[in-house]
Amino acid sequence: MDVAAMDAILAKFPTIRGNLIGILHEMQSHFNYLPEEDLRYLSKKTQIPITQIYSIANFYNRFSLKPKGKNTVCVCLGTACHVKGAERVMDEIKAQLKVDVGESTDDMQFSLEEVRCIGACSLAPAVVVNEETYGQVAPKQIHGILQKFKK
Amino acid sequence: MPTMINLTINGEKIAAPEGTSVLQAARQAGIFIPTLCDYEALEPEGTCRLCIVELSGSIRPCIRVSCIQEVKEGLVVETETERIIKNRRLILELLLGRSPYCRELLDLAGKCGVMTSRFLTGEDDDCIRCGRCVRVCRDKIGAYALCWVNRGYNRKVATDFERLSEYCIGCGSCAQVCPTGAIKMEDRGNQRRIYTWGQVVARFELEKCEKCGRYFAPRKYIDWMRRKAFKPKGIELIDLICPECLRKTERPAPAKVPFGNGAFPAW
Amino acid sequence: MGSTTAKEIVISVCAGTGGVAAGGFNVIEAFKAELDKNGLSANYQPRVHKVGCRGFCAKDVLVDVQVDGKTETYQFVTPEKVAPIVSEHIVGGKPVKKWLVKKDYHIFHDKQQKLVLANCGQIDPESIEEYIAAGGYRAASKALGMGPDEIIEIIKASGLRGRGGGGFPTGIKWESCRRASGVVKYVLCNADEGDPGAFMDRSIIEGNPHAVIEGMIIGAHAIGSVEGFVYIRAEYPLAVERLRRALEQAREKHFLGKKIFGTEMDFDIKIVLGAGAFVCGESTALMTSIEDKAGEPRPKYVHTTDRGLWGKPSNLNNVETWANVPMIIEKGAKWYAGIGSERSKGTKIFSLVGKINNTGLVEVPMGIPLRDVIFKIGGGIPKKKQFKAVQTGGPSGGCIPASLLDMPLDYEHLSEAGSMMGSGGMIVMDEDTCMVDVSKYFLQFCVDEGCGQCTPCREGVFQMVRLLNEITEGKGTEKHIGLLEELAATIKDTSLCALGTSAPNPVISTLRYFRDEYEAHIFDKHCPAGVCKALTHFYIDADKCTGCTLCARNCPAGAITGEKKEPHVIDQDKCIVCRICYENCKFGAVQKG
Repeated sequence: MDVAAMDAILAKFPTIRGNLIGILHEMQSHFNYLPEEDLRYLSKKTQIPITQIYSIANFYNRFSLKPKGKNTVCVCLGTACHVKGAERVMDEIKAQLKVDVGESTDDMQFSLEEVRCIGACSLAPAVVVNEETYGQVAPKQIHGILQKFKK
Repeated sequence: MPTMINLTINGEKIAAPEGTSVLQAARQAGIFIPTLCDYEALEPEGTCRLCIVELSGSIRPCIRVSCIQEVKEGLVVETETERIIKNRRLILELLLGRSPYCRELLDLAGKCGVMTSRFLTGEDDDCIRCGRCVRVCRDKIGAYALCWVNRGYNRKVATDFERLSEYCIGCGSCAQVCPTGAIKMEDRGNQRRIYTWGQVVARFELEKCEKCGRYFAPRKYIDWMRRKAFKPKGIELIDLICPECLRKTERPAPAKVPFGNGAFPAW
Repeated sequence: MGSTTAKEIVISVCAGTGGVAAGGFNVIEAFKAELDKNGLSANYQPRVHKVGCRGFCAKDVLVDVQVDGKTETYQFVTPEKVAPIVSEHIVGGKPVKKWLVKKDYHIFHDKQQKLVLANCGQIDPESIEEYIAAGGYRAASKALGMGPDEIIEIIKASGLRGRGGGGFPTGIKWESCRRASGVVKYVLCNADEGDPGAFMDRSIIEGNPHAVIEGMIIGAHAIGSVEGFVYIRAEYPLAVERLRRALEQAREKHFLGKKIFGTEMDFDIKIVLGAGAFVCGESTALMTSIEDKAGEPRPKYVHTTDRGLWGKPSNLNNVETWANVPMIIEKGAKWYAGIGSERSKGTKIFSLVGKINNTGLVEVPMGIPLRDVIFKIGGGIPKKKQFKAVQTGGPSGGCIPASLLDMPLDYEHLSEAGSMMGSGGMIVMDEDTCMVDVSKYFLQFCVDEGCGQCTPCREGVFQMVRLLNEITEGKGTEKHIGLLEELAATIKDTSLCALGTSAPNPVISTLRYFRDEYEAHIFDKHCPAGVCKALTHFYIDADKCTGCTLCARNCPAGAITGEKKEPHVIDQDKCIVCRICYENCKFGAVQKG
């Protein structure tokens, strides 16, 4: 539980109304997930029932209730990527990281996510690691890409 | 007097007060429309889709759910057309696919002419995701102990972080409004348990009635009601008296429970 | 620079998501450094700026080099190519021919009519000054001097229809929102572009964010609103950043805030970030999401123009629709209505992706034949493969077969063909695409992305995916198609929101045009496209195999054996049907069966 961080996040929002998802985004990027204690603190501070917050945290793909790895590998499974073989890229990443979608590696270096279209269809198949987009990815490039992010 | 609206349901001319739903109007006229998520005291959400009807007359012909559609002058409603029956039966089959042993659902399906489902999933889940429990807890009781989690096929009812709820007051309304008995409340001795899918969501110790000595309600619930709800005029709310003893007293019974139709079983 | 004969040098580097991913920012830095090194910076004040996506992302990084008014475009620019371009072209006056764009770049643009995207690729999206210099905010200023009804009449007369899906007439929507009772009203912009294969809204915001803001200002004045929201996907960080910057700049110029443009009108716009839920692109779900709840659609028997966000009258249009508004005010309804087909006016932006040579973003007048888009602008299908279908309208749309290629592209014809305009994603499929697999893909998408409130969509679409899975696994029976059709009809009739009612569309349209493929899967246990693993095997045609060993070297399962220069053989027991050999063989020796 990090009161100072939470208060700093809440201070960024002049009103709560219409900003709950924004607050959760800030929390997600600060903590790398949504810790239970901090969500309860948020509920107390904002008077929004914890069940409503919990429901939202579960509903949206961008929020995670489990700690995530240092780097997030996001494979685009949009239609363009699908017809251009994104599944093979996904399979290769799964094999190299030895995790399934939604999981993190044991050393917490990587989390694997899938996304339905990042709108980079002309780069299909696309993979996003943290903020960096890789286009026309072939399975054999995966090792090199992942290596760049390993500390 | 509210304005009366004239409409036709299954060829029958009916007048219903403005603002009532087609479903309510049909019920008042003795016409049966099957439904699972509708509950009198709750705002309709229109999610089970069983109460679909065909509409025409004063609006463009369409299929809508009758629990949300309000009556409208000149509306022509058909509740049992071939298309409606076909759709309704398929929806029931889909629900049975996940809840094949749910007695209430089987009864309703039987009434609508569905005997088996072609969509068995191998699951045995009595919850049909009608959301009555979530709505009563949130909108009527105000305890906010239940919510929806996950999306799509994985949507389900849960407490916060899917553990014993701190927010549940043990009123049992969720179990009371559940159409299939997926949420159950059980009083045994001085213990009350509310559980679903074999998992306890809340556990309480019950207080004794000062008059008859029967265990009847959790302390949290009694306090909640006193703080939140009604103070019947003319009577002092005496602590710890069970509803039955309260009824037997000479005083006028608390006419206005905050939420009608005996939905508070313990009060 | 007064009267000196200074060279005017402008370098425009594509910095949309595509350009950035291809290294656009590094190219900008390289140009700046190289111009410095050559002493050009000091003498000629060259301008190196980033511009939005010009559409042809497959050629990124694209760079326009303009010297004294003459522009040349380079493709696939990398930092290494910058030094020769500066020394040979800018200093030496001779463009580096081998790196210039080729004929296909011009063909790609020939049939297009860029109105909404006109500024993309021309101006720096992060500079309000460049937007104003290009005529920006003139329309808003003009509109604020007009009466709201007058504006609504212009929009109605222009024939503008919603670019996000159903194609509802924009002017009529504005009018009902204006007439709805209530003091507080909202204007909303849907930038939750979630259709897989669509990225026109992202490109507009990345390349020309002020057009959207300007459109919303005009709409707010017409409707009588002081508060606007842009609901944008968190998956678009660059677009969010550029929009945020654009809003700040507009506030500084008093185009947003109190008493905008020196009038009595107050209006400001807030960004609301989505959080990864496709269903939030549905209008009522978008509003519930802004209201701090899970984005679940509401039954829509009362229009959102009467009761929308927080129960107040709300007018929601998507990014492309808003971006059309300023030019309609500026150039008039008559001019706008002169573009397009009879009932679909103006232009439409499509994202042309999939199995097509020229992938990218194209803007064409409504009514243009589909064939022109695919085979002229798009340059046809790669590797001389056969065109099979084009999918439009995202998960709610359908597949259009080759027999309808001459169809004009507009709202009416697309829905007649069993598809829809949607937001404009256009995914091209060739003979190697399996239509059963594509349907399964879209329905699985709806299972993953549906909210789960209503029974038919939650349970029904899930069951459809189960049936499709069985078909692709070779377990299909003659009952499967009947069940699929039965489910599709009920889901269409009874679902709560538009995502549900349209979820079966991909199956309905593929059953209409490609029923034989379903039947091949079910009765012949054969996937004609060679995609469904259980129904496909690959073998090597010994007559065509040259023994080059490429396939054997790339086979991840070690299933291919053979001596060099001798025909190779695939061991069917080891083969995992990954298709790598099929796609890599240069002699067409690997066959699917």
